[in-house]
Amino acid sequence: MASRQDQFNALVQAYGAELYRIAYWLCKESARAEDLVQETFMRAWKSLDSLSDDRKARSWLITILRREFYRDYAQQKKRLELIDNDNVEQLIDPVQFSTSDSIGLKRALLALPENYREPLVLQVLGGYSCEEIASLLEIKPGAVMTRLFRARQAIRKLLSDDVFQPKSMGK
Amino acid sequence: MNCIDVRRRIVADPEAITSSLEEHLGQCAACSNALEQERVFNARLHDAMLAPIPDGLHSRILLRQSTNERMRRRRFIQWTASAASIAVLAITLHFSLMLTKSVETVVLTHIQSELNHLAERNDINLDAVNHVLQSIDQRLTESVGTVSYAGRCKIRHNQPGAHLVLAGNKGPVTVLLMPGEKIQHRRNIQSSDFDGVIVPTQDGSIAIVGGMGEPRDTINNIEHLLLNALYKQS
Repeated sequence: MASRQDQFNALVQAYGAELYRIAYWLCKESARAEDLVQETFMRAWKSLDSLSDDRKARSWLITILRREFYRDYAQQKKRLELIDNDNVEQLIDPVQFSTSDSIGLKRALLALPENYREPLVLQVLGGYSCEEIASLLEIKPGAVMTRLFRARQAIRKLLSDDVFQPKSMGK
Repeated sequence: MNCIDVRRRIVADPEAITSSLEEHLGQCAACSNALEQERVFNARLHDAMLAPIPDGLHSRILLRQSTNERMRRRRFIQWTASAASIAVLAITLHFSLMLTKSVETVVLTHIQSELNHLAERNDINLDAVNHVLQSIDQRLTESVGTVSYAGRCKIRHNQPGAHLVLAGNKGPVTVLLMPGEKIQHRRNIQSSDFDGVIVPTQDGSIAIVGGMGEPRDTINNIEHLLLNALYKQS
């Protein structure tokens, strides 16, 4: 019979990397992403006894991760919710792309507003369906579909714009 | 389902193909082609999202968890030790208070806890009384009156004593011989129910306590007789 510590080790091995990547796309910074993942696992350790079904471990961990993230950024999230229906292209700050960068797709992802980027990351990276994402984000599946559609369209738009092309570094 | 609906769906989720979508895709080459492009785009997105995992991430998570756990256990041990210290302190204080309890309180508590002896109607002879007193290395050289009860007892902290009940003028009079309870001076002892004296002896004290209505002369007389008749054996 596996001990509590064995179960925790297995969770870290199985989901540590995936959580880190989701955390990275949530907070857009590697150091903060690692802190977020560490804090997520510390909270998971404390409430490990509440995890009764290992098939739910992944969603359980992602829920903790998101809660940790939004705990510190509740105000930011509120602001993003208020502009949810605005034109996504208008939300992107072109200044972010003013430096030379060849990895346009990643930068486009980073430029997406959080409430568009998050469902996209959960879908593409986490493999979640619209219904599962809706459940995680506590919004309607139709809203998830809309955000995913707009997110992809916004990335396409950004990729086609000049802002993603490397600019000259000046004379 | 028309082409616009299909395009919206495959852009939103190119991996979720329902039967109605599949039916349309089988008949519409343009949408089928669009789906392929979406899937290619999705694969690019997936690759772009594969942020490099920092070296040693798993080890650092496990290290932090084990460190936190060790600290938590240490705090628990410290807390337990503190709680134990407080408990020891409380027990020590309790016994300290017992130690500092006055001899008057000890005597009255003792009498109250053994009230049944006041109802004894025996007439115990001197030899039997001395047999009891032998346990505290004492004996009576002569009778001090009618003894209705004589028994060994523990006074305080298991110190041995002797408990006698003598016939008074108005009722029974308790005599406690307490070798360990040293006092400096003769003192009166009184409560709502009892009245008497505690007198010092060579190695302790004797309490002589009657009921509230017992004449003080009776108490003084028993005191006088006891002090004259008591003889330390060793």
